[in-house]
Amino acid sequence: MRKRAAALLLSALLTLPAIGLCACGGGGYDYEITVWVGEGTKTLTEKQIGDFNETNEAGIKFKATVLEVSESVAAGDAIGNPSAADIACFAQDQEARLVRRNALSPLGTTAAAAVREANDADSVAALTLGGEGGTLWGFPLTSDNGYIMYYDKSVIAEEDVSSLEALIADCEAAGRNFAMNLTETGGGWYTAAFFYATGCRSEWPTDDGGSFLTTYEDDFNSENGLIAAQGMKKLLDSTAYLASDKASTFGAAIPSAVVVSGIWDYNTAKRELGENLGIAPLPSFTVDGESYTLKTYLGHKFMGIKPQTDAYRALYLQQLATYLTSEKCQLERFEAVGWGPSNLKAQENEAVKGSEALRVLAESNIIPQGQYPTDWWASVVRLSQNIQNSEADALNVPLGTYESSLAGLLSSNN
Amino acid sequence: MDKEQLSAAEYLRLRRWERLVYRISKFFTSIPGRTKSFFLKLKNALGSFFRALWANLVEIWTTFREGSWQTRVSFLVMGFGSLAHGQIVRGLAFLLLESAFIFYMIFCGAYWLGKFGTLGTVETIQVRDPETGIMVTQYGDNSFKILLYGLITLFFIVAFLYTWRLNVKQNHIIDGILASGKKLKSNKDDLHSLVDDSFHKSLLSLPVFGIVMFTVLPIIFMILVAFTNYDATNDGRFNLFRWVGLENFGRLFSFGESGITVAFGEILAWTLIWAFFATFTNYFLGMFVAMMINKKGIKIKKVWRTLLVLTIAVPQFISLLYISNLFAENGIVNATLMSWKWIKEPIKFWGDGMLAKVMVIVINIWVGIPYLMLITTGILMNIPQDLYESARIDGANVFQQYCKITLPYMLFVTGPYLLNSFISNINNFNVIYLLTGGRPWEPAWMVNGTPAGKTSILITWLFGMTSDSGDYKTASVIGILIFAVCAILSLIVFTVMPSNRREDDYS
Repeated sequence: MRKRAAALLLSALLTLPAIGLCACGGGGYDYEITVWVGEGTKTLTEKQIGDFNETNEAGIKFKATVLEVSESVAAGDAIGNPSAADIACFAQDQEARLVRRNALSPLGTTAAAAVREANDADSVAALTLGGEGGTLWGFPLTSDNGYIMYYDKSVIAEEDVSSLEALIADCEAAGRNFAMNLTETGGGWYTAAFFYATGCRSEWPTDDGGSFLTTYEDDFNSENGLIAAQGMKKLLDSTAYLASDKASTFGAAIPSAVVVSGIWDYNTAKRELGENLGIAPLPSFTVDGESYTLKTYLGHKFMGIKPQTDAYRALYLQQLATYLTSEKCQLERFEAVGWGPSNLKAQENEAVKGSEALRVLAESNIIPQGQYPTDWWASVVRLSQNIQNSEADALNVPLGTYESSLAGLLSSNN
Repeated sequence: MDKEQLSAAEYLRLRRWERLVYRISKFFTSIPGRTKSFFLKLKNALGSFFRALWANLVEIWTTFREGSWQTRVSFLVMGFGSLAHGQIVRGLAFLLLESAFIFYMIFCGAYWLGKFGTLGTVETIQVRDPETGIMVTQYGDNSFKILLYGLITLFFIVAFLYTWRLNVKQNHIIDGILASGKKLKSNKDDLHSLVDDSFHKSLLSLPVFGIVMFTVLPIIFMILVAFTNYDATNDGRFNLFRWVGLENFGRLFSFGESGITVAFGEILAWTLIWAFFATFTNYFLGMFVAMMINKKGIKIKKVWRTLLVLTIAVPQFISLLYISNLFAENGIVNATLMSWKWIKEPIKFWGDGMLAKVMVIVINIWVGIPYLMLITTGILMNIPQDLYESARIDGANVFQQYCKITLPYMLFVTGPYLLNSFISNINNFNVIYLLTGGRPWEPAWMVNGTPAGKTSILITWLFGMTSDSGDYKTASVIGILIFAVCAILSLIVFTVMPSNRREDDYS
C-alpha cells in the first residue's frame, strides 16, 4: 500500500515537468501573443492573423490568443499591466494618456511610412503626437468615431430635423425624451458640439511623449462660449432632456424621440425603431437670430503595440498590426461589424460609400478630435452641470469657473 | 446628572434614559482615566516585553557559555547539536530551514531587502535597437515587487530568528537532559509526537502559514501603501514610487487646493447617517413586521413570511439594479405617474441629492426587513409570556408593554447584532453602488480624478479610487480610516450597550 502511494506520488512529480515541457514546446510557432479587439471582431481577427501567418514575407508564425475587450476597458487595463495584450485596440482620445503611461511603443520607420501612405490624413494627424513630424504611436483602424442624430419619424416632423428648438418642441409635445448626454459621466464629448458650433476652440498640444505643453488654447469663456451656453441651456432646461446617449432609450418606459449617439448605436436604433428610424446630422440652434450648426467630433480607433523588450518580436508585431489595419482587413471589418475604414482605398469601396450612418457622419459639420488631458472631459461635464443649474442670465459664471479649472488639468498626469 | 460613580443600588434606581445618559457621560468622563491607564498598560507591556527580551538574551548567553561544544556549534550551524546527539530528524529540519533561509537571502532576499528603503532606483528606459531601428524597453526596478517581496523577506527574517531561538532552546534542553543523565527523545519519538502530543502544531502549521501569507501580509502591505505615492502615474514599473511618510494623511486633513477634507468630511458624515438609518429603520420595522405576523389571530402566517423572504431569494445584484432602473428618469415609475397625470415632468429620483438619499434608505428597508423579521421572530417567541400577562394585569397598554418588555429584551439579546449590522452598513457597498453608484455627482468632490457624489459612502468612494483612477495611495488611507471609524464606534457602543452590562439590568 505504502509502496503504491509512494509510486503514485513519484509518478505525479515526474509528470509535472513533462506537462510543462509540452506546454512550452508549441507547434512550430515563432511567437505567442495576446490580442485585444473590439466587440464582435474576435473570430474575424483570428482568421486575419491566420491569413498573415500564411502570407507574410518573413514567414513568421504567431500563435495568438484573441480576446474581446472593449476599447475603454482596454485603455484602463493596458496601463501598468505586465500581462496586457501585445496588440490592443483603443479609442484615439486615449492615445496621449497611454503614451504618457508607457502602455504603447512607437512605430518604427517602415511601419510609420506604410501607415502614413495608406490612411486618411485626419487619422494619421490624430495619432501623431508632438505636431507635424512628431511620433506615430498607433495604427489607424477606423475613421468613424463621431456622433449623429437618431430620431423617431413617427414623432419628429421631417422639416424639424435641422432645428434644435423645433426638435425640443416636438419632443415636449409628444411627452418623449431628447436624449443627449451632456451632464453625466462621458458627457464632455457631446457638450463640445455646442462650443465648437459657435467657433470656440480648445486645443491641447502635446510633445511626442504624450505630455501636455503649457501652451494650450481654450476660449470657451468668451462671447462665442456664452452663445453656446445659451443654446445648450435650451436643451438642458427642457423637460424632454435626458442625459443619456443610448439608442436603447427609444424603448424605455418614457421613450426617447431623439438620441444623439455614435455610429456604433445604429443597429440598436434600427432594432428599436425599425422603419421609423431617421438619421440626420446634428441640428442647428438659434441665438439672437443667428443660427449655429452643432459640430460632431470625428475620432478614430487604433491598434497599439505594448512596449517590447525583444526588438525582433516588436518588428514582427508591427508587421502584423500593419496587416490587420490594411485595406483588406478594414473592409472585412466593415462587412462584419460596420466599422468605417480609415484606409483611403477602403473608403472608396462601394459598400462603404453606401452605408447610411457613415454617409450622414460625412455630411456632418465635423471637427477632428485632438488629444485632451484626461480630466478635461470631467471639467466640461462639470461646465454643463453648472450651466444646467445656473440662471439663464448668469451663464458667464459657470464659464468662468470652467476657465479657472483649466490650468490645474495640466498638473494631473493620470 | 451627577458624574460621580454611582453605587449599584443608585444606578438601578435611575430611569432607563437616565441610565443611558449616565453610561454615555461616564464613557466620556472616563476617557482621561482610560487614556492614562492605557498608557500605563502600554508602559507595563513594553516593560514586560523588554524584560522578556532581556531574559531571552541572558538565556542565550548562558546556553552558549555553559553549553557543550556541540551546542556552541549549533549557534552557527543550526541543528548540529541535535544531529550530534542522534536526533537526526530534528537536526535535519533545523539545518534545512537554515540552508533554505541562507539560500533565499543570497539569491533573492538581499536584493529585495536592499531596495526596500528606497523602493527602487533604476528607472525603466526606452532604447533604440541598432539592428532593427525599433524602440525597445529596458525594465529597471519594480517598486511594487520590491515593496511586496521586501515585506515577505522581513517576515522570513522574523521567522528565521524565531527558529534560531528555538534551535538554541533545543540545545539548552538537550544539555539539561544529558546533564541529568536521562535519555534523549529518539527520532521515532519525535515523529510520533507530531501526531500525538504535538499534534496541534502539525494541524495548525498550515492554517497559520496561510493566514500569515494571505491575510496578515496583504493587510500590512496595504497599510504600507498609504505611506507611499503609489498611484496610476507612479505605477512602480515605468515610474518608481517611493516612501512619502504621512503626506497622504496630511492631504486628507488639510484645507486648500490639494486638500480633500471637504469631500472626506461630507462623505464620512453621510456614511454615518446612512449606516444609522439603514440599521435602525430595518431593525425597528423588521421587528414590527415580525410582531404583526406573530400576533394571535393572524392567519396563514407562513405565507406572509414566505412572501417577505422572497426578497432575499432574489440576488441583490438583480433586484437592486432592477429597482434602480424602475426609478430612472425615463423609468416605469415616472412613465406611470405621468400617464396618470399625477406629475407633469419626470421626478429625478437619482438626480436630486436629498431625494436620492431618502430613496436608498427606503429601498434598503425593503431589502433588509425580511432578514430582521426572521431574526426577531425567534427571539420574540422566546420572551416569557407571563411578563406580558402580569403587565396587562397591572394595566400596561400595548405601547408600554413594548417599551418596558419587548424592546429591552430585544436590545439585550440583539445588541451585538445591532453593532455588527451598523458596521456592515458603513461598508454596505452593494446597496449604494448598485442603486446610485454614488450619484448625483458633486463636481467639487473630485479627488485625483475619482468622482464622488451625494450618496457616495466611503467604501464606494474607495472602490472608485482603486478601479477607475488608480489612486491607490489615497484609497489605502481611506481604508485605514474606515477601520479607525469602525474600531472607535465598536468601542463606544460596546461600552454603552446593555448586553455588556449585568444581566439584572434587564430583569
